[in-house]
Amino acid sequence: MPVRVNKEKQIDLFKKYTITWTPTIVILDGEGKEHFRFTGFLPPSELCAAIILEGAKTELDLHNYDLAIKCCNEVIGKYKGSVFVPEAIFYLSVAKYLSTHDAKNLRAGYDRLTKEFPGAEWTLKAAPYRLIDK
Amino acid sequence: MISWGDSIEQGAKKSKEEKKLVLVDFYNPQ
Repeated sequence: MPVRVNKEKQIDLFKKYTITWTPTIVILDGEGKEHFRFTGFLPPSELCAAIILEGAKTELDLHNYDLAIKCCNEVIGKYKGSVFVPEAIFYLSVAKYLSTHDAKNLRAGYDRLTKEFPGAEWTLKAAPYRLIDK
Repeated sequence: MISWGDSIEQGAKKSKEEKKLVLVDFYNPQ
């Protein structure tokens, strides 16, 4: 459900959500609980990738693992070259692990990140998973 | 074309009914 909040007309909501800079995009669940936010401008395709990835992370929070996997795969498959792909690979492996309790998914994510994005931030964050047996 | 709402409360209510998430764009028109 997309909602726009205008700073000039709805300053109370800016204060309520502690928005100090625009544009800021916030993802809420059906209870109105905030899950993720990001600030700043992005080109259209990167913005789409970012929103889908934030949706994936929110579905992960809500234990909707199949939806999280679907969203991560969408970022990886549809937005090749996006700066958000490494993070999507990371969270894909997390969602698969939480869905199956098979740690090999975390190792597979690390292997893929190492191969496709050596030195990337999310490859470093996945580094402990190298200790998991293949 | 996206149809934007201007109420977070209504967006959350609708999102709960339809089991979707709410995306809120805080913007400055200036």
